Amino acid sequence: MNEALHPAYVVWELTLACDHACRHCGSRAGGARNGELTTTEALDVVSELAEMQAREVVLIGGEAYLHDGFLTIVAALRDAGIRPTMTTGGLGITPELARAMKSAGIQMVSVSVDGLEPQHDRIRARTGSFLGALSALRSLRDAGIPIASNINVNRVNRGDLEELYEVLLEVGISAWQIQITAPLGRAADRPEMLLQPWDLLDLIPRVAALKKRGYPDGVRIMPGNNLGYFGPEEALLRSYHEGGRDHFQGCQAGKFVMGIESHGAVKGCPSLQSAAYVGGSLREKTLREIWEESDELAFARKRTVADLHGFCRECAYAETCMGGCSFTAHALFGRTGDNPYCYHRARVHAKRGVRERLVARDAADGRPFDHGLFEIRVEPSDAPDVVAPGRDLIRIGRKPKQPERATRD
Amino acid sequence: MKSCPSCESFVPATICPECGHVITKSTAKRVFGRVLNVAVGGATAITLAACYGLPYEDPFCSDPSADLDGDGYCFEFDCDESDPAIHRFASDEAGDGVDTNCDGVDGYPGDAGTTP
Repeated sequence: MNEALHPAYVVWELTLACDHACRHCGSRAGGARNGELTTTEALDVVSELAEMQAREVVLIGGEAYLHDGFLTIVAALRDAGIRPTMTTGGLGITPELARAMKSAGIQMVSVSVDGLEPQHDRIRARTGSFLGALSALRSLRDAGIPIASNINVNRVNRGDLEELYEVLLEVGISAWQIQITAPLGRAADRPEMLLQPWDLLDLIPRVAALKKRGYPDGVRIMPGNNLGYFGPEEALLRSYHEGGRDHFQGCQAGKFVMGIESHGAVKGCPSLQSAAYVGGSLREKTLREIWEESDELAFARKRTVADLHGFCRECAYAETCMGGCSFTAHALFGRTGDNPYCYHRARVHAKRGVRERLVARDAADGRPFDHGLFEIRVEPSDAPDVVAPGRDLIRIGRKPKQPERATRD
Repeated sequence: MKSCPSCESFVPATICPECGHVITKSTAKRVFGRVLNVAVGGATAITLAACYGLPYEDPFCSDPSADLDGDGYCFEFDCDESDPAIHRFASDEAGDGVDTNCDGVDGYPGDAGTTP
């Protein structure tokens, strides 16, 4: 194993209990998992993370603040020299909780805002969710915590970006992460909601334009790892600093990134499909054993261009990109190695007068981090694209094979 | 990867995959994608996974000449370059009159007597 590789950035699902039942939730959050780690067990995990030189831990859920030991775990991470941050829907973040989080040592919080109020509330299946998210941002800001936001872009909210930016700027965010909704969990049940690959031809230039606006406004806009790839805007999008020449480096799962599920399952990235990518449980093995010895965490360390297929195998960027975001590709086809959610790929097809359409084929299982299956159909660029009206975009298109644990549909 | 002088795209070989411009030695501008440099706390191009990750805020100083106190932080992440114990990610005990974490108060907002 390359000794330099270690879990520097960890995303830790403290609990799957949630005060939302979002229609795009990849983990189908709502109720807690059976056998979630106790606070005592979680503090042992903190020690293991410190021993493996974790630099930052993003606490998530469900909603991390619904775990009884949330503040204790935040403080333990801080005391261990690990930077504790959080991603949240924010509904339960009161001014008092925000101050407590600051005292415990939380160092940044990103609140998910999935569009302007009508679209956000529709996606999050809860009236008042948007206002709750903005209230959380203000409470966190007033408590002295640096605030950020993130959005999952899909066909429900893609028109909101520019106006939403103004709303978030006014609230005072310092950073904004933009990614796309992947067909994972509840989003897999709603194929009408998803972007089509050619939608990136419109989306990427708009995000690039927003990024330019963000620099003088003091807002750092960054693409999530499943938004990309390459094209003329890549350096602008992917660089943290203005004028930088960074580019996508490929999936970092199991290299410098790790995900922990609330019952102790460990995988190379928090979004990866549990069934295929959990390398072990912290109740049965040490973190180091899972990181160093499990094949599931090593998949991105070992593969080569020979592991790619389809368009990605022949792509000019194959060796660097390696098929983009692993969980997104796996969510579509049940394996990594070919990923149509790619800006460069959409541009190549557009030059040929065609585009790739994702068509739903098989339903998902109905379990956290599950997925269905899609197929690609190539069609002329000017083929009809009948987009369902607003509310139909979030209607279940394919019932999961097993009942969901919690739903508010 | 090289940088295309025509369209600014990245060029893995000699022909720009975006515009077809042929890169010769005279036109090549080689740039290196940054990789995680954890050992020295350098800058990184990694952003965290979709939906869960923060936009990676790169606090570690990319300009060593600006990190006068050698604590690894600079510019907006370090309000006092004469003291390595003071930076935005330090703990801040209230009552000592020092804003150790650069948030404008001694301790944390809401603590008694937090104006340094």
